[in-house]
This record gives sequence, C-alpha cells and structure tokens, in this order.
Amino acid sequence: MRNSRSLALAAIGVLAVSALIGWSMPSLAQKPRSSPPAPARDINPPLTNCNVTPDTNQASVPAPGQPTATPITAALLTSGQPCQQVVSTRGLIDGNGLANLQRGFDFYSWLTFIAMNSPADGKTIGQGPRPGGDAVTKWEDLANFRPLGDVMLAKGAKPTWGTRIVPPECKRLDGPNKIIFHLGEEAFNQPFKTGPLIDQDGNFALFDILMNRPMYDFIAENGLYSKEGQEKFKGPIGFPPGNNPVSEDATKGIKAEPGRMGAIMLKVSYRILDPEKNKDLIDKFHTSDALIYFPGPPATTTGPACVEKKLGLVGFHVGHKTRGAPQWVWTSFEHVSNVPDEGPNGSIEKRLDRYNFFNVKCTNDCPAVNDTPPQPWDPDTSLKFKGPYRSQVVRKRMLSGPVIDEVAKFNEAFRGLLNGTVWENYMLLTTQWPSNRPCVVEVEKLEKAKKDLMTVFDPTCGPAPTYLANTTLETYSQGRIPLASSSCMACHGNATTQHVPATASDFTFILEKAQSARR
Amino acid sequence: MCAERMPNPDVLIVGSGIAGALIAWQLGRKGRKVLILEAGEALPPDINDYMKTFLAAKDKVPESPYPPALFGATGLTNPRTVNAGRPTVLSLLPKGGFGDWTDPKQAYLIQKGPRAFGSTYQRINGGTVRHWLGTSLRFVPSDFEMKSRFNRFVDWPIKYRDLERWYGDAEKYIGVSADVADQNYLGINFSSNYPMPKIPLSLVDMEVEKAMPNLKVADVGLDDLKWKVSSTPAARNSQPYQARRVCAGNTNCIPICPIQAKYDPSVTLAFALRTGNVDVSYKTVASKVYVDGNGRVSGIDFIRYDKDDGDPVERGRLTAKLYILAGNAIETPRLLLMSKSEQTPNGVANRRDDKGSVGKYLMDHPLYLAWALTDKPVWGYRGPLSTAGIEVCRDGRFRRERGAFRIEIGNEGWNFPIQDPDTTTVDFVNGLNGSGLNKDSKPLFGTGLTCALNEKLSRQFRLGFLVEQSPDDTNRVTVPDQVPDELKDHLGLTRPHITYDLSEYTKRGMAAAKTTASAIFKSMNAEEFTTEPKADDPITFEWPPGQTTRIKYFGAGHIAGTHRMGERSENSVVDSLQRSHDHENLYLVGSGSFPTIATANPTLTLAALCLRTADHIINKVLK
Amino acid sequence: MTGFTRRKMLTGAAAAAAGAVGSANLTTQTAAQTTAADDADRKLFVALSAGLTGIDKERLSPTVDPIQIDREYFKQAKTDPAFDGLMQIIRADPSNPEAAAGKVLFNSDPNIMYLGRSIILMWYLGAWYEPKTLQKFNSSPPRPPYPPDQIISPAAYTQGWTWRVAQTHPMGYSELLFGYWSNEPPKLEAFIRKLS
Repeated sequence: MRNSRSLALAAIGVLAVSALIGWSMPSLAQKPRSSPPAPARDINPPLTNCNVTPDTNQASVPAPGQPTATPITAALLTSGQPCQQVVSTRGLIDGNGLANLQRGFDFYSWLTFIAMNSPADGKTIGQGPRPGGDAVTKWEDLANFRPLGDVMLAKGAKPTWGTRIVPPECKRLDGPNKIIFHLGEEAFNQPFKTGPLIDQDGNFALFDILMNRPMYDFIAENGLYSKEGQEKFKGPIGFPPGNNPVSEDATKGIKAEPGRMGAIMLKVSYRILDPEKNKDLIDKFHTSDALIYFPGPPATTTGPACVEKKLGLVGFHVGHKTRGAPQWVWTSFEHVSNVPDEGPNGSIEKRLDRYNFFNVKCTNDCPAVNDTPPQPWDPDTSLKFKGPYRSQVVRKRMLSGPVIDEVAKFNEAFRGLLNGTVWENYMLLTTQWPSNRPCVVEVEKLEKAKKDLMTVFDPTCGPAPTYLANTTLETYSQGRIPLASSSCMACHGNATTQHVPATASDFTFILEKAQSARR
Repeated sequence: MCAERMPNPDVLIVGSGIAGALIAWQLGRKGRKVLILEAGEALPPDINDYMKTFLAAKDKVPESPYPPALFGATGLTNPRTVNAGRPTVLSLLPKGGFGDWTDPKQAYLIQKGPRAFGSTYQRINGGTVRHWLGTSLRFVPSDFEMKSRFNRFVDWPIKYRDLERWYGDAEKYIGVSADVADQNYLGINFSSNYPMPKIPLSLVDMEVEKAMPNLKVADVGLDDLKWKVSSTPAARNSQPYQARRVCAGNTNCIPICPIQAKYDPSVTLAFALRTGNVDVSYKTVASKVYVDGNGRVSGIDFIRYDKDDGDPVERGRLTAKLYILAGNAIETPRLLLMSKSEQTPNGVANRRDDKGSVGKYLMDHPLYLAWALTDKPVWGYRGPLSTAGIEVCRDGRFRRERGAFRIEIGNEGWNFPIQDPDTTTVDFVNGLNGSGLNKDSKPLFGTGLTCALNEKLSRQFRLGFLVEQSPDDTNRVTVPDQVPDELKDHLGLTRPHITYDLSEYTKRGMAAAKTTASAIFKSMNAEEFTTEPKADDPITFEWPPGQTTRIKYFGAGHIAGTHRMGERSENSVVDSLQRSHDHENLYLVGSGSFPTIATANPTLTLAALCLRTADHIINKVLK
Repeated sequence: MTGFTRRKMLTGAAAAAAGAVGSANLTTQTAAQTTAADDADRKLFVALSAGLTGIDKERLSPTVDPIQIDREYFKQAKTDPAFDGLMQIIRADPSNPEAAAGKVLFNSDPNIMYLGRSIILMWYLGAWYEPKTLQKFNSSPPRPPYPPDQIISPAAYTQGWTWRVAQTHPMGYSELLFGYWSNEPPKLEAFIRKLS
C-alpha cells in the first residue's frame, strides 16, 4: 500500500507514529525490532464521561405511568456531551412514537450544542472572559477538531493532527487565540456552488467544515486524504459510530461496553463583524478573531493573501454518527437574528427590528426573497460584495407545526439557562434522524460485516423530518420538494469517494475534497 | 435595461442554450464583453420550481418542468397567447381532437406536412439541453464524408480530425463519463482522456450483451457485423465534478435530473457569468436582424416582456461588433427569415437570389421504438435512462442505400412507448389491456396484483433506433410574409412554418431498424410487444410503400441542417467556422450548421463546433 | 436525446377529461390534531388498503412515519360520496381485510367497486382517478396513456407503490447509491412486506 521508499525517507517521525498504530514495516531494516509491536491505537477510544441524560424519565416509569420531562436546569450546562442519542418511542405524548423520538433527538441536540460550545479551557459555557461570557470553544481548539482545509492538503499530503498551519501571508498578522481560516472553494459559496450569502452590511458570509479526532483518524489511517489513497481503499467506507455506555444484561446476551464518541463533522457559518460599526453586537454573537487566508485560484480569484476579520457565529450544523443512526444524526442551530420566519399562511413574521440577512426597512424595492446575488460571486480581500445587493432571506416553513412548537419550547428553556451570555442568542432548528428502525438494523448489520448497501431498499432509512435547511447554509434549497429541497440525509446520501467506480462515502462530502498527488 | 447593464458588448448572442453559453463563457474568460439575449425565463436560484411542476404534471413530457405553462384553463395553451412559446409533444396528435398537430390554437409550429415534424425544444435559460438525456457520442469519420464515401448528399467542409481536439475540450467542459478503450470504434480516435470514468452498465444492458454473439440480422447490409454493446459516453457525473453530485440513478434525465448530476447548460451559464464579462437579458426576444449597405449586420431589434402572456415592457435595438445567433435550428432560421429588408430581400444570410438555403435541409433523427418482455427479469426503471447502446452498426456500405442508425438501450422499462408503469398498473387494476400485458382484461387486487405487476414490470425493456435522416431541401422552416394572427405568437411575430417528410432513404433506414429490432429480441428470446400505429397518427408512414401497414417515428429532439455549413454559398449558409457567407460579422451556431446529421446525438458535435468557433473569434477576429 | 417523450400523449376522451392542469396539493404535514375516531377510521382505511393493494399495512403506514402519506390519501378518499359505504365493509369485519377488499371490489354497487379501484391506484401511483373516470375507461377503453384526474401531491408521487412492486423507485426520486443499477435489486418482499 504505502511506498516503502518514502517511508524510509521519513523514518524517525514515521516510526514514532507506527508505534502507536502498529504498522509493520518489513522493508525498513534500519532498526531491528526487538520488542513486540505496540497495540493498535483505538481511533474511537472509550470515554467515561458520555452524557446519558434522557429527555424524559420514561425508562424509570413503567407503563401505564405517564413519563415526565427532564427539568431543564443549569446542571445540564455541565452535564457533558452525549456520545449517542437517548430516545424512545415512549415519552410525553402517549401513542405518538414519532413525536417522542423527535423530542429525544432535539434534547440530544441541545446538549451537544452546549458541550461543543463550552470553553476549550474547561470552564462552564457562558463564563468565559470575553464580552457576554464568550470564550474560545472546544471545537475551535485544534486538540479537539480540525478544519477540512488542514486535512485535505495540497498534493494529497498526509495531514498531522493538532498542528497549526500558518500560511506565510498570515504570519505577520498572527497572534494568540487567532483562528486560521483557510478559504476553500465553498468557503463563501453554498454547497454545489449555488450562491453566496450577503449580509446587511454587504459582507460575504463565510462557511467552514471541521471534523473531530475519530473522523480525522479514520481518514488519516486509511489514506483517504488523497485521491490516490481513496482509489486504493478497498471496502465500504464506514466511520466509527458513537455509543453511550452499555450495561451488561446476561439475560439478553448483552455485554458491557464503554461509551465512545464516534465521528462528528461540523459545518459553521459566520458573518463578519466590524469592531467599530457593529460594537453593540459583539456580546450577542460568539466571535472569533480570524486570519482569513485566500489561497488563490482555483478556490479564490484573489490571493495568496491574508486578512484579519472578527467573525460572528450565525449557523452551526453537526453531523454525528451514532449507534442507531448509521445515516448520522443531523443537528442544526442558527443565530436568532438571522432571518424572519415564514408563517403558516405564507406571510413573513417580522419579529425583530434588525436581522443579519433580511432588510426590514425596504418596501417596494426589496430584493426577491431567497434569490441569489447577481454574478460574479468571487470576493476580494475586502470580503465585501461589489454592488448594493443584499440577500433577502426568509426561513421557509419546512417543518410541521408540532415539531416547530416542541422545538420552540426547548429553545425557550435552554436559552433561558444561557441568559446574559452570547449563547442565549442561538436556537435549535431541529434534528434529522433515520426513522425506519428495521431498516437501520439491517444497515448496521451490513456495516459491521463490511458489506456495501446495494442490497438495501432505502439506504437513508426514512429521514425524519423529511426536510431540514439552515437559512445560512442551505439558503437556496429551502422548500418541500422531494430531492430538490434540502434534506441532510437525502443530499449527503449521494456523497461519494473518488474511487473508481465511485463508492458511497458514508454521508460525507469531505472525501471528495481530497486532492491528487499527481497534477 | 440592456444598455445599462452591458452598454457596449463586443458580442451579442441570441440564445442561452449550450451553444450560446459555451461561446459566451469562452469569450468572457478571455476578457471579451458579451450580452446574451434569452427569449425565456431567467436562471433560477434552484430547481425547486421546475421539480415541483414536474412532480405535479399529469403528463411527464420533456417540456413538463419548464415554463411557459403547457396547459391553460381549457386545454393546451394557445400559442397565440404566449410571448416565447415552444412546441410540445402533446400537440403531435391526430387531426380533429386534443393536440391536433395541424391546429394552430394548440400547436406552436405551423405544420404544413405532409408529415408531422416530431421534435420539440425549449426557450429558456440553458435551452433544450436542460431536458436532454446526456448522451455525448462523437461522430465517426465517415459521417463527415457522405458524398465521398457513399455518393450521397454532401461532405462536410471539415473532417473528423479537424474537430478531434474540440471534442476533447467539449467533453471536459460538460463533464463526460466514458473510457476511451470502449469508444475507439469505426475510426474514432482520441488525443485526450475523458474527464471521468464510464457509467456502469445496467442489468438490461448486460442482458442485451449476452445475445450479441449469436445475433444475425439479414437484409439490412449488416450481415457480417460483430455485434456488441457499448457503454454510452454521457455528460453525467460518475465522480464528483464541477461541484455537482455523482449520479444516483434517478432515472429521470429527461426531463430533469433532481440532483444535477447530469450536465445542463446552467452550469456553463454560471461559469460565463462568473467571468464578470457576460450578462444575460432574459425574456428578451430577438425580433429582427438589420444589415447595412456594406453587408454587415448593424443591429438586432429586441422585444422584452415580463409575464409569459403579458404585453411587452420594452423594445429597442442593440448593436455589437459581432453577432451570434444560437437560437436552435428552427428559431435561428425563423429570425433570419423574419428579417427581410431591402438589403436582405430573402431574409438575412440567405443570399439575394433564390439559391439561399436558410431554413432548408431541416433534419431530425426519426426514432424507431421497439419494446419487449425479456424471458427473465432485467429490472428496468433503474439507473440513468440509458447507459449503453449498440454503435457498431452506425457505418458501412449500406449508407449508399439507406439511413444508418445507432441503437439506444433504454433502462426505463416501457415508460417511453406506453407511459408505464402507470398504464400497466391501470390495466391490471381496472381490467383494461392498453399495454398488451393483461390479455384477459382482468382486474386484479391484493397479492394477485402485486405478483402480476412485478412479473411483468420487471421484464420490460425497449430499444430506440436513431436513424440518419437525409438532408432534403423540401424539408424546411419558412416564415410567410402575411399570415393571420392565429399563426403568430403574442409578440406579433409569425411562428415557424414547417414543411416535412421522410425520404425513401430515411424510410429504408427506419425499416431496417424495425427488422433489426425484431432480430435482437428474437436472439434474446424476448417477446416483442411493439404495436403497429394507427393510420391517423401524424408521425407515421406506410411501409412497405403502397401497403397499409405503418411504421411510427418519434422525434428525437435533434433538430439540424437549417443553416448548413459548406465551402460555397450556393448550397450552404455558413462556413466551417459557422460564419455566414453573406455577412462577415454574423455567426450562426449550433446543430443548424450540420450539413448531414449522421447517427450520433448532436450535442457533443455542436459543442465542439462552437468551441472551435469561439477560439477563432478570440484569436483571429476580436484580437 | 431530447424530444422523445417520456410519458407521451393524451388521446381522445381521456385527453378531453384531463384538460386542466392538475392542481397539486403540496404536502403539509398534518398536525396530530385529528380526533380519536378519525384516527381509528384511518387505521381501518389503511387495513383495507393493505387488502386492496397487496402491500402490508406496516409499509403503507409505518408506526414511526415522518411522511404520513396515509393521512393525505384518507383525506382524498373521504371526498368521494361512496366512501362511507366502502368503510362500512371494513368496519363490519376489521379482522379480515382481504375478505373486505374482495367485498369492495366485487360489490354490486359500482360506486363502491370503482372507489375501491381508485383507492388502489392512489396508493400505487400517487394520483387520483375518479371512480367515474375508471368506469368510463371500461365502457369505452381509451388508447393509452391514461392520465389521472389529478396528481395528489409531489410527496404522493414519490410514495407510489407500483415502483416498489417493480423493485425500483419512482422515476425522479432515488435514494440509492451510484452504480446500484448494475446489481440485482432486493427481493420483492423487502419492498412490500412488513420489515422484521
């Protein structure tokens, strides 16, 4: 698989790594091995702190008792990150399995959001040193998550976890706590290049993709960070799933298992905040001081160049592969002031006096709702759109009334816990999950046997709800039209590797970003 | 409007289909300023509306996702009420009823006969290639030399080798998936690789493939042919490409791919717009071309509208250094022929004597459709609409006598011939037998229904034969001078009049297709179900000549020939660079430039010609 | 290849009947605000539909069902005047849906019989053929194709069972993986029988 000559050239570093993952390298004869090889490193290691809080107490209230909701109190802010959803068809609404499951997933999503956005230094969320109790979050720490641009490197080079890559043009701007943001082809253009999003100040919204360690390790260890590596990889792609700890149950033949986090991928959207012009907004957003790197063509027309901007988080998408959700669990959050909602009768519900991506003041001269800006779309280093156009975005009504109501209750409660911090300004949209249980069981069986999913009649296993879109990340595919409108699973289900012939990439488009070692 | 947005274009292009979009992009990326006039609707931010319209359509015809609306309150939209109308297959029906092909209140094209022209097109951003299948075959070298090799018709003024490099570029720009090793038959050669590997074959293809070694077809000039099935090169992603997803086998290429794994010209239009040097004015119909005393085009009149059936909102005239008409092989000659003046008594680019060829030599691929039940399940309705075909029969001595054909293997069961699975489903539920599969006309339900339907649907498949139509100067587009209002569109412009028939050469090709189809089915041990068409069906002809039996031809949507290229202007309209013989600053681009139509689907060849034209314009004309 | 028609032309009487563009009701997820009686009736409707269609009721209406197409179909069927008469048959013997289906489809009242057929076609094609349209088809069989009176909704089209009975997916709606078409599909049971 790997070219042994190139290994020899990188002998020392490679030997160190190999000790961790137990490669055998028979051709590397420089250091005769005297001790047995180190055990293979577990890329999905056991954890002792999975958050197993359920949304109701149904597990401890036998039927026909009516379960009650888990109280939403400050204790939840430090309860940790779920390794897996804890859900049941039984819950607050008797006889409505779909609603009870949905609520369980939405509760999981809030716990996930809180845990991932907690300060990287271990403090409680909302108690950081910055305005509004803000702090550098866990996902912004390279010890926990790595941006896509630092994994899929030029020429398909092998990435190294934890390293901070500072492009030459950014060195003079660098400083403590600065995030390096490497613009890729979709950093300012929505998926499939459907268009950029321009905020009310005329700035481009920016998008980034990150992955956690288990997801990264699967890519790194299997050589999937290059086109050639993907061509060589045999067998279906299957990222490691997360699971909460399992207690032994001898009667059912269930063995004890520790919890494991599994693969998590993250997509974030930002608006640019001017420290002067927007100073009254700084404590309303989670902010990052970012060095934005323009690599030049083909990703950006300008560049190489580097500029510093203060970024405010406006969108947060999590994909978490878990046991019971081999199609992953899809969580989406937005800043509350992004856009107004479309009401049940199609009118626009303008509740705030200003929005990030909607002009409340225009009358007959408003741009068409949810339309793309005029071309050309490529930003220069000012990251300001050339021309007066501002995106006029409305959140289309894609969810059912009951889901909207259930999520609104959670948002009210959790935002209440975060009152007085930047985090009170974020809300959950909802969570998409695979609803067809027998289908999920079949898919997991095939995954375990390392077989592909060609024999499954529906590899997405019934996504619930059917459609879901984040107005900052899927601005232009909102709606309820099958396949044309945004559905996390339906779209990600089409993602493939660069293997020939193309193989399913396990619901991630990250693999198609790998570059080639050849030109 | 137009003047404000792109005040002094170097080039004015009429039509934002694949021809116009490719040329605009090539010019724009080299810094030339281009304004495109597009008669139809603007590029939408997403395909939600097209998909919604398609899913709700009761007749999922190729036009069904796209505006303008096919139906009004009382039936087919009257083309007189539409500003930028277009034909639909729904108006190819017998005289006297719904969809009467001769009724101008239902049919956009004014069909003078004797036979109906069977193809349609779109007038919309991206043009007709929005709804294409994606088949991207190259012509074979013989195709360019019909006169030299077979003493038929004319030679092209260029050869395969002149176009070879442009074929490679076109394949890259639209993203064609194929393996060179499968495609170098009949003299085709390659100087570059395809950008993506081939699309895998379907079970249907594999079943046809099994029958190839034993296939013998008599009496059609293919006696010694080594029959084989070939993967079809297609503008359909087999890898992530151009930020579009890989094919998921939605089996919906025509009329619209829900995930845009199939190339459509909105991709190229987006590239063109991104250069910052191209602008498009939508719902803007070019209505007249002007020529000055020096024989140069001096301007184009336009009419802009807002609602499909509303009054115009702006009229004006635009000028540029160079003019390119890319409006398809019916709308471009229509515009030329509408542009009569003292300078251009026969219309623009049409000579001043009676030897002009604009609008003449109209060609299509008449398509012979045959369908059958295989003896064991092949499970159609899966994968792209077509993944393979039989190409080895496209060339040979028989071209002296009859039109050649290629064979397209369909993956969509009997959807094309009888609109299945709906028809068979209704047959089995309601006790009918329109499909021919419910011989007792028995209504079924429950397990009896599921078994019967499964047993039949899983064995359906069809073959389509694209026959080379001869270029006949009597097949033509005309625009008579004085016509009653009902023959005009809502802008007051006369709609294209079509005179059309099939020559004996073409009919012999169709008959050979019929014989071949039955032979293939026989060698597969498949039971043929091709029905004989009725006498009142306007897209049929008698065969054998003088008999009452008939053969049906469908329009493949491949409109060509009406501004053919050639070396001399006595029998051609443009030269090999698609430049008008008569007007040095006018280009007429697209499959209208084809002097013969061969057997391959025209899009790749027209794209190659357009890239060659664009290169010439950039390097030699607008230096 | 373009102009060839995928689903082609209307002919004669069927065409005249189907003149106006179908008004497609976009799916709106119906809130769980139906009454208990309504719910019970809908479950009976689904049970009868299973007998009519030959598809297991757990597939027509899964326990955990994000799409809930059964509610749309129940609503559509209720618009027919013979609906109550049809429902009496299954209410009379809810334990034997196959027998009830037979009683519907061989009913002496043609309104009930044809309504039964309309219901089967609704599940199979996501489209509504009025019972009297089907009756007319029988008295003077049209040349195919036979377009419906109405496509119920985009969602209904994607849930059509005829495709699954053919072991495939609706044209225009695939949730499958690249290259699947080179492999045999799952068996028919995987599509239409209750999943274990």
